[in-house]
Amino acid sequence: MKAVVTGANGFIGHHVVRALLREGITVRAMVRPSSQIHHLDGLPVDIVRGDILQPDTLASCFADCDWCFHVAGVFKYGEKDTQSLINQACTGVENVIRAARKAGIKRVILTSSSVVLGTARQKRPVDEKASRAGQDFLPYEASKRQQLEWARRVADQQQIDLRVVGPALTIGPEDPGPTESNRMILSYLKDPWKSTWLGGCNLVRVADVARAHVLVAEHGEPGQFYLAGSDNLEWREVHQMISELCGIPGPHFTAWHTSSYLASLTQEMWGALTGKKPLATREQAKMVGRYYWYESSRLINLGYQPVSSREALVTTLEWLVRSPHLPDSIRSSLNLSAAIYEKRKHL
Amino acid sequence: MKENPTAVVISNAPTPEGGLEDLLNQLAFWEQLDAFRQKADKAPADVRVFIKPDMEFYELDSPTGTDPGLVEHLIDLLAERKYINVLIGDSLDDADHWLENRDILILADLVGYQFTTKKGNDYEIVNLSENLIDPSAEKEWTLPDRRLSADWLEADIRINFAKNKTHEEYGYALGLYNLIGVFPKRAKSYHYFHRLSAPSLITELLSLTPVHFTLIDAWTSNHGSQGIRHRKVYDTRTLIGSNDAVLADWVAALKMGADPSISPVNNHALKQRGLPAHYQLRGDLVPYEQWQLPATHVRNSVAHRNQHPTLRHITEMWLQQVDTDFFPFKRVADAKVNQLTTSLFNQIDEQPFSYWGYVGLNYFLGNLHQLLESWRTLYDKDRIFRRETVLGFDPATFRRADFDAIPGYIEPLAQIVRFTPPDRNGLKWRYIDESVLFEYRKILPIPYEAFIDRVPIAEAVFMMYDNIGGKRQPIRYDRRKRILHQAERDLYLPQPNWMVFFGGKPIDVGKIETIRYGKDSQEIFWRMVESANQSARYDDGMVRFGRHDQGTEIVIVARQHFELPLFWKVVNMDFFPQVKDALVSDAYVQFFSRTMAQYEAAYEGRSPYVGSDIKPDYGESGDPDFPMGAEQMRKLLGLFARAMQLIQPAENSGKQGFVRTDEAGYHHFKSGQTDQELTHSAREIIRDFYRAMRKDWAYLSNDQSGQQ
Repeated sequence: MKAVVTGANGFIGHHVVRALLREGITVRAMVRPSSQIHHLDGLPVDIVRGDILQPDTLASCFADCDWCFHVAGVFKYGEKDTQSLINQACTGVENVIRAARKAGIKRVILTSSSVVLGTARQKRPVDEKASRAGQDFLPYEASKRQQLEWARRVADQQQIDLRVVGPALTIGPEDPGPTESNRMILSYLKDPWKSTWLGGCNLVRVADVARAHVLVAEHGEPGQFYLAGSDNLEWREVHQMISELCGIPGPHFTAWHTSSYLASLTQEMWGALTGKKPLATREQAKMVGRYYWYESSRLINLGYQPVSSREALVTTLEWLVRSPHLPDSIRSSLNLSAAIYEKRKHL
Repeated sequence: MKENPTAVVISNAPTPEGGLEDLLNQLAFWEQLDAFRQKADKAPADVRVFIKPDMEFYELDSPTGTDPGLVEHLIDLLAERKYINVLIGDSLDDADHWLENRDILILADLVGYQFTTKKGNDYEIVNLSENLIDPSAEKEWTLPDRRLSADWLEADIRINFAKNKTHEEYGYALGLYNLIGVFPKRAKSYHYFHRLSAPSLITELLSLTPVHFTLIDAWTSNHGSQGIRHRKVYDTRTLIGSNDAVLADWVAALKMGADPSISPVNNHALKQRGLPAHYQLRGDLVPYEQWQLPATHVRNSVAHRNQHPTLRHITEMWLQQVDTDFFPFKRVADAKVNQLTTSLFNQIDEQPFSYWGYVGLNYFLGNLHQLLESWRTLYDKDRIFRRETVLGFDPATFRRADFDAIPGYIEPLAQIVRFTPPDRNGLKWRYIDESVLFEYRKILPIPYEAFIDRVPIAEAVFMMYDNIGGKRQPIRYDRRKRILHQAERDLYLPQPNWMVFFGGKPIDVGKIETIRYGKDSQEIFWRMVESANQSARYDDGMVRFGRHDQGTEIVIVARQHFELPLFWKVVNMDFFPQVKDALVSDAYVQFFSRTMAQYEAAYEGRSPYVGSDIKPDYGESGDPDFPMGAEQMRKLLGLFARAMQLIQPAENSGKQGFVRTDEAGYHHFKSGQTDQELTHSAREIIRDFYRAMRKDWAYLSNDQSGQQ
């Protein structure tokens, strides 16, 4: 068995590569020509250079493979140009499916997102059968939704077995970015006021998301969407856990919709002036008050057993406090809990 | 050589040259020189004489630098006595970043050094920023920046030939101030006035490389509030000399009518070295009539402004009166700003409006900096510049028994606090003789051996939270080369940090320390021996790393008393004991819990310190990160430009952003925002804000989900 993974140097991508290798599957790791590949160092993979937006580069990357894991994508909040995000996502997935067909690949596993299923304003989890009618989607969410619809249409046309994994908020170690989800933790640690906000999320460990990809490839059904999440938590609970694990007080304040909006607007303006990336965007502020709560029952039926969100946070924080993403002064303000040290023992 | 410390003042000699000869004679200069030569068993021609003149010239024939004619006359006098091995030198300074012709040889040539005296004696001028060597391998060397010019280090006789002038920050700038030119860095404002402390450096330099004679050229002097920034000539017709560097300045400052200790450089030297025990004063000590020292407002406001190295660097550049025919600005923008600001502030002693404007501007800039530093102290510590220091005291003055006695002083205190009940924070503490005695204890789930391997006990005090610099100096080692005794100076951010809003100063403490190594524990005991800025009365204690079933137990016991800012002295919290106790407990818990985190960080291999270092080569040639004046302006203007871009429609601005050139060679541009887009953006912001408020309203109206 041989699989090609697009975006193999990315956060989820390289964890998918590792999960496949653990299953004894031969992996071809596809990365963009300009990408850093140090996260793949030492792994027994065939690294190939290609770009999903340039179809002619894909044929050689996909040749002789049985499965294609299309993980590459843009995960970014605060993008003003929704159409550009959608175009990139749709063009990319179409190119991948068509190239897979040409290369004789029968099965494509697409990394989508749980947000395509929408959110609730009540504390009520959403599953794969949720109705999405009337929902107000943010640009990133809209791009993932459009990508999914487009992928299904193209897969039907090309007679490709398309299976979709929708990870919830994925956190974990070895994040080269860091991505928006790990930045959420960083932002809280950097926030001098230690603010939380209304609403909730579903935090899942990246290794579990990667494992979900393999399960779906091996045991999933064609055309199905599989939510990959863990515990549903309120943001306050998440921030309390971070505080407890890091030995810091907080959260002190709860940001409501208005204060979040004004704070993010200020951040964006400051970012526009200084050229620095804002800690929070207006798009993220609009997520305040929403419950990104999900049920992963369909995937659990395939044998999916994610660790708890707390465990995911322990794993992530253990790595994050050692990583260069966390400034020294912030690290010096943390008193790590025994749980994090316990995790270190097992590494 | 300094058996008879003497200071001589020669006034109203017929000529400066005659005055210099008289000065040297009365100082017994030649006798002392000859005695040294005989002791060293050298012929006069083999004695290497180094003359360090003041070359702070921004105009020709300016009274801000030593008269080259006098220096050359000294060379002639030396040559008459066969001392022909003479070097003159100075180093590059900040001005080299913004003015042309600041290379030492060019500068010397422009201001009147001929390289051959009128009597035909050749001499050499050297750049003290070059030919650097590190003498630490051969002798005990405590300067933080190890390298100095070999010409200075290897000289047999060092003559510091300074100028008589005022200084807007230090009050006056004489011999000791002139020694800053011995240090090689070009960006002196960063390295010697911020990363390192000029007063400490100069005192240390005097100890390591003694200056044998200090001569002060006060034939013409520069006085007034602005010091070297503005030419203000006073014909004082005086020459001053001494075989003691501190004494020479002391007498020269008295002649100015100044309290010699107003200069931080001299104040530090007076405290650390002091005047000679016995000395002679010869000559006229009457202060100069109508000599204008910088007013206290000016000195304080400039010191306030100059706390930030970039502000110091930039304001020097923009406020310095310069003869641009000889020293043109490197950048036109700097020249323009300099022209404007010097025209506004060149008469501050004469024009009250200008005076108060200058003082107000300095305080405004200083307060801006203080606000920024306060923010950084509380929320952005990585952007605080760390400082390096010299030790600031001589550990040799403490006997071995003094070190060995420290545990005996601390252990009973530890016993007292151990039996103190913990407070609501779990901290054991109590007041003892106006100081706070406390114990903080924590078990880290890290194996003891691994912990002590990565977190050296000798660095346990230096690693404490909020340390922004200092110096550790090992004194004695055991057979396994582990440090037993050491001296240490620590600089900490104000404690608690919010004291910075009340003018709280960094805590600066010098300590002597003893370390004990056991099978299952390591301990460091320290005792404060001085606080250079009087920020602490007590800072004594111990740190213990001990083996524990669950990992490593860390115990900190300390006795501390830090001075409070004026506000908190007036608002005496002793009248509100409950509030005070809560503040004290919270502050210590935070400080020591974070100290634990520093140890953890060190264990993880991260830097256990806050703040960022000014790199030792910062500002040297070719450093792309060095903030040039024009560059700072460009950045500031860039901020405004970006702000304007955000609000200015494309049709009006006529600017469009270049994006890329395609394969066919067509240029693609990103259009700026149109009026319509701007209106749309504004509407979107208002709409989203309104929605956010509605959601909050819904949430408040018991619809806890915020559902619309």
